[in-house]
Amino acid sequence: MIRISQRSALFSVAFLSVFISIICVGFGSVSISIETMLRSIREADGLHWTVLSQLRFPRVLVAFMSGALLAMSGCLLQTLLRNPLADPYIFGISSGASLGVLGALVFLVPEYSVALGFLGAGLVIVLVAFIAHRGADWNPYRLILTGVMVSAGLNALISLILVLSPPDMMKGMIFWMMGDLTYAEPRVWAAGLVIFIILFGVVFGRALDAMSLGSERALAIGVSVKRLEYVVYLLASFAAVAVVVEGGAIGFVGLVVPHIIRMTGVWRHRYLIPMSAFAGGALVVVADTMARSLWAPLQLPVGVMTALIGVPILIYLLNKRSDVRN
Amino acid sequence: MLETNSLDVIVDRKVLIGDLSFTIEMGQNWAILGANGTGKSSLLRLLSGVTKSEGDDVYVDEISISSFSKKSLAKEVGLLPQFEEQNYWGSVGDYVGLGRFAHAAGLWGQSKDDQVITKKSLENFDIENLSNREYRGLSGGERQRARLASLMAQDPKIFLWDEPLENLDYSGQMKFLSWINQTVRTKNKASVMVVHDINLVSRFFTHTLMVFPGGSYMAGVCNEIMTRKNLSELYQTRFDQVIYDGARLFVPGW
Repeated sequence: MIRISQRSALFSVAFLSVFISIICVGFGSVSISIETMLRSIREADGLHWTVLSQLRFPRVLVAFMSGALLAMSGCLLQTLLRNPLADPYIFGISSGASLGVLGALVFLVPEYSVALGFLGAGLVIVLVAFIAHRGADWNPYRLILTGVMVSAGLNALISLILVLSPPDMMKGMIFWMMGDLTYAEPRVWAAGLVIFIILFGVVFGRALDAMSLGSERALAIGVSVKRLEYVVYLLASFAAVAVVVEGGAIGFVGLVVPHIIRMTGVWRHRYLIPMSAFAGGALVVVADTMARSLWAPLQLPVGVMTALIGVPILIYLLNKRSDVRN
Repeated sequence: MLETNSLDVIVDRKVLIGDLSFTIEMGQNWAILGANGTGKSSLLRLLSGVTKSEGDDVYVDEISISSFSKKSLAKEVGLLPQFEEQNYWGSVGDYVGLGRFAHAAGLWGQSKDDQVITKKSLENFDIENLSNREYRGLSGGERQRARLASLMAQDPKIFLWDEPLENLDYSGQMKFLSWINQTVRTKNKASVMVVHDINLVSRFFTHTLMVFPGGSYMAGVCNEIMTRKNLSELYQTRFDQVIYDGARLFVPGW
């Protein structure tokens, strides 16, 4: 394997993922070549321009942002909890949001679904932090167990609602819970959050590196561990919420992408966080493009595609790596 | 100078070491001796500020350690705990370089100085050839060398080591002890080390803190308190004394 520096790896991944995303703009029920794309952008008029500006660009943008937020959230949580299985939904944020959205649908107030989704997720963030923090020290083990328990409890409630709700409503809900970008829109504050977390990763990269040594050692070398842990918890949670309320619980990106990046030999958070953002963004863009064009005009949930693409890549890298070692 | 003023070392609401007052001056090399579970590691944590005691009873140069920021404290007192989590994904060079965290001035990580000191630390523990290897792939002894090197890179005024000799071979142990001995004497530093090999103590250390099972302690110059009687009480084991080449050696009786 060719060894390249972590910095050049970052630039390659950034370039590649933006390139892939631009190509994906052309795919869909009407396919648009790059030439046509460039021409209609110049003219800013015509049918292709309408498709591009009204449908494709926003869709690809929201997919990219969702992927970036999920991958960075997963990366931060894997570091915070020192657990390779951590993903953006480990604390039940998606379950909290799902419960809010389902509640809105069941009680026939769909116009409040986003607001209730926010409320549900927000309550989970506060609840998990509060329970994990009570009495004893705040530590990763308490935090992860609390999160998993809250998540399990909420999932039971969701199942209950799904079982009791009318069958025609159920399919829409399941779609949403698997992650579906059909009705998602790119928001300015979500883009701001993407940029903020990338900057956070770059500036506090070394402190995050040190956290993987455990809080005692990190403290001993001068990291303000507690403060850093609170910030990481909040940023990772906000990122997950920002995605879930728009596009549902798109799975696997947050779990898989940081591992894929680490396995290519990148470990400094200064590079790991931005690279996760670009690679996660590209993965969701590709998955979403496939989800809306493979069986067009039928749309598949993007969460299914991210898993179908991400899992083989990770398994391949995992095996290749052990070959190198032995 | 690091001092404690009637410090209680409390673990699970039990006082393991009571009313401890002692002073570590620059140029001194302390060994902490005691049986398992007598609060030695907890004491080091309190001295380093990693855990906080109830009152203000640990001072660096007569300033309470609770009034230091985390970064500035890490330049005064550096602790190498006995254990740490093994989730570090990076290279050995980067691992040792993390010791420079408190010194890094800008956002962009390491200055030239940091790089030079990191390289020196790697060389001092004979692991400069492992610098690009993955830290997780190291053997236990190599890992321990990297850990010691990272505290050397941190370069605090007072070093606190919790059983640093573990996993080191004899050449590694002797080199490390001679290095810390020389550093303390020539660079105006101090060192405090939890050790279990009593015969190294009179050879490499100037002072000893003995922590007895009952929670009492004895602190002083090695030659004065390293006696058969004290050691027997310390470890609840009989010791025999051998004079070899002018030095007193202690052999546990059986």
